[in-house]
Parts: sequence; C-alpha cells; structure tokens
Amino acid sequence: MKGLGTSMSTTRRRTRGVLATTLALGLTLAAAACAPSTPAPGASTTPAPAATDTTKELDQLTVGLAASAETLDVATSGLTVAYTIAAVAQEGLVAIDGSGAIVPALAESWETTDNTVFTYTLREATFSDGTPVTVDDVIASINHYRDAEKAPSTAYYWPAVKSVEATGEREVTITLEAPSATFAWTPSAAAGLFVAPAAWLASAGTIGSPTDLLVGTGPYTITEFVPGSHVTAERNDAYWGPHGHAKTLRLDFITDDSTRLLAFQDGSLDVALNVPVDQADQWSKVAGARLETVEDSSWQGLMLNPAVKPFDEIEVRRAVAHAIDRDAIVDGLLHGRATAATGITAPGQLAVGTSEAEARAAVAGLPTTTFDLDAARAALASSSVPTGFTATLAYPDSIPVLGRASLAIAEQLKQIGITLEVSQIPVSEWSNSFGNGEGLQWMSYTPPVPTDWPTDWLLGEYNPEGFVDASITGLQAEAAAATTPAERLAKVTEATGLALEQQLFAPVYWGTSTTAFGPRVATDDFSQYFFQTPWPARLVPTA
Amino acid sequence: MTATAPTETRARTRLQRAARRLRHVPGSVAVSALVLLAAAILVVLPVAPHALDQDVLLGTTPAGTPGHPFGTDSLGRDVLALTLAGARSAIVGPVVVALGSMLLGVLLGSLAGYRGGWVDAVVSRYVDLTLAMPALLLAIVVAGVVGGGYWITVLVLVVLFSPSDIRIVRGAVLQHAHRPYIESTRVLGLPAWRVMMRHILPNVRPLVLTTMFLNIAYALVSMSGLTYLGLGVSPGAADWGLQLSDGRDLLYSNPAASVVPGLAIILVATAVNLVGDHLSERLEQGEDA
Amino acid sequence: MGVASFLLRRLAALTALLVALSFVVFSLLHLAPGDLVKNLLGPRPATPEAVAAIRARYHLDEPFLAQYLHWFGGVLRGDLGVSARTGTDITTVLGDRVGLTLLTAGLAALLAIGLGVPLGIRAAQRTGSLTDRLVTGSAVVGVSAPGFAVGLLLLYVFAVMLGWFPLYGTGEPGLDRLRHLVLPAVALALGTGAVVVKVTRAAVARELQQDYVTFARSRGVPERVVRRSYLRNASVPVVTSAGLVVAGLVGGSVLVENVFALPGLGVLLADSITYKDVPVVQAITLLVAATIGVTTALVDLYTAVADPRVRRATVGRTRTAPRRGAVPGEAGTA
Repeated sequence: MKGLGTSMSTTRRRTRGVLATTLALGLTLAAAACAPSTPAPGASTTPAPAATDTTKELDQLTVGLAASAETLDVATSGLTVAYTIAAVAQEGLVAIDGSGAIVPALAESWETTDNTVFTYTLREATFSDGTPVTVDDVIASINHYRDAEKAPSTAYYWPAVKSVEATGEREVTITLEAPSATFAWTPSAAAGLFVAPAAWLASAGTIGSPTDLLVGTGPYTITEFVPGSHVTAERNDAYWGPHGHAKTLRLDFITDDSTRLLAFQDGSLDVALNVPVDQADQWSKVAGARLETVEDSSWQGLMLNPAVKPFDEIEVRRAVAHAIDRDAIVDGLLHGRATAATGITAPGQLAVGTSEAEARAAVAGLPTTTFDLDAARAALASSSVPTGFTATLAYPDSIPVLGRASLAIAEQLKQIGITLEVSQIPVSEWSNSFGNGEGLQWMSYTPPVPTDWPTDWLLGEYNPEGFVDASITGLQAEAAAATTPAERLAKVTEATGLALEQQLFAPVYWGTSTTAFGPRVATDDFSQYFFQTPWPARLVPTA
Repeated sequence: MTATAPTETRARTRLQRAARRLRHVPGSVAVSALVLLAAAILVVLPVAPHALDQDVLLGTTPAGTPGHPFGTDSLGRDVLALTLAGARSAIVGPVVVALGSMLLGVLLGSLAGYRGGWVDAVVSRYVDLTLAMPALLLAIVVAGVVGGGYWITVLVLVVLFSPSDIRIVRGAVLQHAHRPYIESTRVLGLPAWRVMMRHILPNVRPLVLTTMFLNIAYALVSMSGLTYLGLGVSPGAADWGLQLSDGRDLLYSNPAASVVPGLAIILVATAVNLVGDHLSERLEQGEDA
Repeated sequence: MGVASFLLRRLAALTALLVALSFVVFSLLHLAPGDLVKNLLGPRPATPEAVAAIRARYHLDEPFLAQYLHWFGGVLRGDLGVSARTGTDITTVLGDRVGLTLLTAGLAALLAIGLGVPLGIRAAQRTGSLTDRLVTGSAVVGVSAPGFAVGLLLLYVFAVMLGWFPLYGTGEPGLDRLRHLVLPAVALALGTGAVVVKVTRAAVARELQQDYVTFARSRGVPERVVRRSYLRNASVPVVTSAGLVVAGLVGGSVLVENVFALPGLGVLLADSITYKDVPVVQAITLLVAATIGVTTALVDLYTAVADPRVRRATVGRTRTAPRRGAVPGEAGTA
C-alpha cells in the first residue's frame, strides 16, 4: 500500500506561482470593485452593521460547518456540531438569548420556588410530524435526556431529580433533590433538553440516524441527513416564533479550512463557521464578507499533576508556570485573537447571572504567575531537582495551536534545564488520557452552554487531572449546590484561587471563535451563544 | 604510438572514454545529479545549526521579510534554515524504506515466483493481508505499544511498502522462471539461488531499480503523513514533511513555508528517479554491449 | 478445467484470508490505545451504572476470544452488527459511502491506467528522449507534490477559475455525481499513476531491447504485429501494477475526502479506528480485503493467460498449444 494519504501532483511550480499572483490580484480587484460595505483588508473584529431587509425571502441558505457529524443525536455524541444542527429543528422548554440569559421557548412562562421546584407553562405548538405538543411528550423527553445510560452527554447537565410530573393540562413541574442555581438553563436545547414526541422517542430505532431524523418544534424541519456530508432542512411554517427568511436551509460539512474558504469566496456558502485564526485575514478580504470574532469562553491551559514526580513539589510546578510566555502565545501564535488567561472559568461566563464588573473583579483577585525565567530558575533551584529534568507533553491533533504553544513552552523550559518532549496524539487518545497518571497535560475546554463552567469539571470531585484536595473539591461542590449566581461566583472564585495558589493549573489563554457572514445575510446580536439558539430564524437577508 | 608508455595510454583513453560518456548525459540528468549532490551534503553536514531558534512574537512573516528571504513559520523559525536542516530527516528514512522494502520484495517475490506451489500461496496471502490491513491501525498500535519515533516509523513503512514490491517482483520472476532454459537448469540440478542470481534477477533488475527509486518518492511523502499519529519525527524537529503539514495552516500568511519544503521534496524525488533510471539504463547497456 | 479449479482454489484462499484478517484486525484494535466507553460517554464523569451498561452492551468485560467469537458468530448469521459510535446498522453506515468510494476509485483507476499505460509505452519507445524524461519527471512530481496543495490547486483552477467542475460535495446521483467526482479522481490518479507509468516504461523498454524485436523488424514483420508481441510480453508487470493501483484506491483516501468534502470510506475508517468502533472497522477492512483478493486473483489469472508457460505452472495441467501471436522472447543471458 503506497502511502497513507495518496499524494497528488501539479504540473510546474512556475504555474502555481502565476496562479497565486493571479489569485491575489483577482481578489484585490474584486474587493475593490465590489459593494461599498466591504471592510478594509485586515479588518478589525467589529464590522460595520449591514443594512438588512426583513421582508426579503431567500430560496436557500447554505452554511458551512467545520466539523462533520455521523449522527444527529446530541445525547450520545455530545459534540458542539450536534448542538448546532439540533438547534435548527428542536427546542427545549426554555432557550438562551445573545447574552446567555434564559428566554421562553416551548414554555411560555415558568416560575421557581427556592430553585428547587420549577413549574413550566407550555404554549400551544405542533411537532414537525403534525402531532400537537402535550405534557406527556415533555415529560417523556425530560426523562429520556436525563437518563445517564440513554443520553450520557445531556444527562451531565441534569442534577438529581426527585420528580417530573404533569401538574395541569399544560403544566409540568420538576422537583429537584436539592436547590440548584444553574438548573434554570438545563431544560434548553443549548444544554440538556430537546422536546420530541413521546411516541417517537419510544419507537425510534436510532435517533439521529438518516432514517430517524429529528422531530421537533424548531424553526426548520430536517428533511435529509447524509452522515459525513450534509443536512437539508425546510422551513417550518407552523413555528410559533419568528420564521426563518429562507425556504430551505443546507448545512454542509467541510472540514478542510482552505476548501471552506474557497467555497465562501465563490459564494457557495452564506455563512461559514470556525474561521481559523491563521486565515482570518484572508477571509475578511472576500468581497462582502463580515467576520464576527467572539470570545467563546474556551479555556486552554496546563494541568500539573501533584501525584506524579517531580510535579509533586510546588516549586517545580511554579517553575514550569513561570516559563509560559502567555503574551507571546496570544500575540504571536494566535494573532491577538485570544486573551491571556489569568483564571479558569472565563469572565464572560462568570458574568451570566451576576454582572461584568463582578466577574472582572473576581478574576482580578486571583493569584497569577507571570512569565519570568529568573523566578522560574529560582523556584527550580529550591526544589529537589535544581538541575532540571525531562518531562513529556502530548497535545491533541485536533488543536495544532496547542502543539505550537507546546514547542514555545519547551523552548523556554530548555533555558532553565527542563527538557520537554512534545508529542502529538489522536484527540480520542488525549481525551481518554485524563486522570491516567500524566504529570503534565493540556486541557482545552469549550463550554457549549453559559452555565457549563470549566471549573465544574476541573475542580470537581471527578476532575480530569486526578488531584485530591478536599478544600478545593468541597468548595466546588458547594458552588454546584449554590442557590444564587452570586453565591456560585464567590465559591468558584475561592476554589479557583486555591487551585492556582497551589499551581495545580497553569492557565494559558481564553479563546475566541470567528464566524464569517457572506454578502447575502447578516445577523444582529451575534454572540458566542448564537449557534445554540434557534439561529436559522435569526439570520436576516441583507438589503 | 608504440613509443609512449602503455599505462599512460590506458589511463588517457579511459579518461577520454569517460568524458565521451559524460557528454551523452542529458541535461536533466546532470542537473538532477547536482541536486542529489546538494542533498547529500545537507544530509551529512550540519549546515543550519540555528534552524530551530524560535521567535514566537515575530510569528509568521511572508517571504522577503528582512533577514528571512523565505519568511518564517508560525514559531518564527526561518523557513530557509529549517528546510536546509530538514534534509537529513526527510531523506535518510525514505531511502532506507525503499531499500528495505525492495529487499523484502526481491527475497520473497523471487521465492514465490520461482518455487510456486504452496510457498507462492503463503507469500501471496501474506501480501493480500498486508495490502488489506488498514495502515492507520498498524501505525497507531505500534505507536501505542512500542512508542513513536523515527526508526519505528521506518520499520512500519517497510512492512507497509513491501507487499507491492513483492508482487511486482513475483510477477516478473514468474515470467522468467518457466522459460525452457531455466527449466533445464532445474533438470541439471543447478542450485536455485545460483539460477536466481545469474539468470532471473538480471532480467528483473531494471524493473526493481526503477520501482525502488519511485518508492523513495512515495516514502518521502508517507513519512510526513504519519506524524499526525505521533509516529515519525517529533513535532519540534526539522523535517520537510513536518514543515508541509505545519505550513498548510499558513498557506495564506506565508505560502513559502509550504512551497520551499514541498519544492525540496519534489526536486529530490525527481532527481533520484532521473539519475537512477539513467544509471540503471547505462548498467543494462554496459552489460549487453 | 484448469481455470475453474484455479478460481475455486483462490476463493477458498480468500475466505481463509478474510477470517485471518478479521482476527488480526480485531486483535490490533484490542491493543490500540483508547477506550470505547470513554469515547461514548465523553471525558466528563459518568455514573458507574452508565459505564456498566455500556460495558455489558459491547461485551467489554468478557475475555478477548469470546468478544471475537461474538462478532464472528454474528457475521456467520449474516449480521455485521451496528456501529458502536452511532448505533446505526452497519449496512446503512456503509451503504452510500461504499458506492461513492468505489465510483471515485474506479474513475481514478481508469485515469491512472488509461493515461499511465500509453504514456509509459510512449516513453519506452523513445527512451532517453525529452518525451521520456518529461513523462517520467511529471509522474514523479505527481507523487511527491504535497497532496493538499495539489487538491487546492485543482479546485482553484478547475472549479473556481474555470468553473468546469463543482467545488465540493457529492451532488445528486447520476451525471451530477460524476461531475463532482472528477477532480477528486484526478487528484487520486496523479498520486497513484506514477507507478503504472514507470513500470510500463521499464517493462516495455526491456522488451524492446530483446533480440526478437530486432529480428522481427529486420525480417520485415509489420510494426503493428511486432508491437502486439512486445506489448503482450511486457503486459504482466503492467497488469500487476494496475492491480496494485486498484488495491491502493479501494480503501478510500482521507486526504482527498477531506479536501473535496466527500463522505467516503477513508475518513470513516480512520475515525472508526481512533474511536474503536470495531464493527465498522471490521466491515470496511473485510470489504477492502475482498476487493483486493478478487483483484489479485484476476491479475494472476491474466498473468497465466498471457504467458502459456506460467499458465502451465500455476493454473492447470491441461496441455494447450502455444497461443498465436505470443512470440517467445528469450531473454537468455549467458
């Protein structure tokens, strides 16, 4: 067998050089000749708003996704792309808006007593298969998606439930075992609930397969799914909320970044997700393109395991932390499209339910380890391995930036005598390796939901690093049981402070995600939560 | 003429003959030979000792940046220096893969083609098994069990490349093994290996050589294909294949980061084939003459 | 009859091969790093009951051999199982993807062989000339140029600039699908065609050097008859390499499928291996193996047919008169 990925040819290098110049020239000319709303090359991340026309109707809207899906069932895959697709056709009792706050979905209104008992009043709505939404459907859906065996990914968001019952013809009451400050977000399509007909849930062979397409109440109805290729959906004219402006919606899976760019350039895509940081400038040069870069609350950093020598000594952990040049990584490797992390849960998430000011104040109070090679040397000198040691660091192949960051960190560590052997591993191997006795590990966590904080997992009892510290995990447990967002913020901040003081983690950066919008559509109120809301209805044609 | 010393004449005519032969070398082959010479120098001598020096804040810069004729990669490393330093890792392994694979090919292929019967059946089934085996799976298991590393990758590739070489050699040997004059050697009781070496392999040699040179090209490409599994070169090393996969993300910010190592791979692979085929033809002509 | 028994023997060998291969692949998957349970439940904490439920469903707590026999027993009953990753029936999972990959591979093989063989013959007929160098050179460039760059270039020139072909995807079944597969097939052919070109060139050049060609030409035998004989004699290595090209294409190509956004077997196989989705990996591997087995059997059959001496030795004991047109080429070197 010749080669793993068969290689292909070109005719001559000269030809390619000519073509490259032609491409650059062509694009510049096109950009210059195009509509006046084109931003200047190398545009900033806040584009000028486009004039929209809400009366206009589009025949088909095409969206380019950067990930591929083999199943549409969120409950078993747990992938962000599955959430993005499911949001097209299904909804929960509540939804989230641009700021991450809860708004009505299938529940017209709701109320809670002490964050323990939640009562939802359902609106009149019909499923895409024609049947009306009843209380039984809602209850069946809740029980399905909180079942840890049938739906492991969504069950994660459900705390212990005492009872789920119909307390009226259009009323459902959920009683939790203990109060929860975050439960309000759980019964949404952004976290843990997709309301579907009870009969369908019971009889469907494999939910989310091409033969059992998702049935829901969302703005569109999925009509076709080819795993690994695309999803086609048609507008649901019986939708209770604002209707989408396109008759059909097509979601194409294009995993290759350059192909996605070409498709966007030639107008095949109206919207493209996950514009890579290194290519953003090129994307923004496309005629009529608008790029939206938002902080996606993702946390990237190193986990330093105190159970593994020599990381059992705090001086060694400090030494490694001092050798991380966050600013160089953020400015150089990420072209400024990231923020140097000084905590774990990002301020954007901490602010949900409290306020930006409180969140920033909380993060500002956390202990930070600055980039300082002298301090690193000094810390190492007072440890039991003053001359240095050898360690390994693996990064997942799905995030090449972490590989580059690893090499940058290795270069710095070399100067204080620590040899870091960097290696690349498949992403499934990486995610399987948590808690497996590695001394130094990368963690990258992108919360799909506003209330899903990285600290819930990283500082909790079953944390991926495998550290055991009752004070930290205890505080985290209290945070999980908090009854108000302010209380949760306080507890999490305290726990994070302890963890950082002991240098169990070395934060590196909080990431961003960039979405490209073509000349045909625009959206108001774009945020990191956009694609977890009924987003197809929120895309508006430009004038 | 008889007055001159005999050794002098012989030396001079030998030189003249060599010069005449060189004049018959096509331009493309001569250029290729120079490319190979340059590559050999790069493999043997440490030409760019500071190639791995990073400058993360500088990051990716396009070709023509002062001090960096072909720009820098995402870690701020000079593309040209990295390409020069990457020659050894990029060339040595693939050459060993091609040699090793063809060695297996000749050994097992001639065995199967000459002996026939159950030996052929066993070898052919081994070939079919290895061809059908998902290479990725083998690579992952080896990397997981034995650990990654350059020479482990070379070994894995030798195993993965050998089935095609075995089949090609076997097919060619089959054609020659049953000719009457060969069959007569069997009757005469000549040892098989002698028959193989003297009569069959020389006929198969041009095919073997040309396929081996092509395999170098395939191996050059395959080595880099395995890095993403944790096999092959370590991520920080200088290697053309690694530069290519890193450079893929930088296609728009600095295309030179992919073009330069890519061009290096193409040049070396083509040069090996052109020079190799030329020498191989010369060898055949020399024998027939 | 010789041919029939030959084919039967090969069929038996193929079946044995498939069984052996399935066991080897199963063992390798067992040894591979990764954990199906963690892949299914996600990296976040899961309840012990959920873990136990999954381990029971996939027989993960049973001894290795028992697990293999579970799968094997299913296959004997005609049930390839369901995908561990999605729970979908294997035939549905493979369904469209097999057709797509085979179609692309077929097109690519057609291009690689249909263009590679004539080019190789041309180069051999003009050994040492500029044509020869160009053909060989371009073939090698085809192999060694970076795959993603070539794919991108093809897309840019033929899809974007010229607009002759669509940019990505599979299109509607029928002619539209063929249009969508042309560029991926070209990309694949460029990578694999080189071996056909070089082997053809080497084999034909060797034949052209033989005495019988010179004799026949000097005797005034018409060129097309001479050509027929030297081509026929050179055909065995050519057909062997063509078979290898098909064998290499049939498993799909991750790179091409990524660049052209095709839901093919290559990406499915790669993802299933890292996910440890055993039924899918087994099913695809067996399919590929069966195709390769059939291909090599056909190649060997051709080898026997083309050369009567080989036929006698490999296929059967029946006495056949030497076929017309096959001028024996004695390569006897002293």
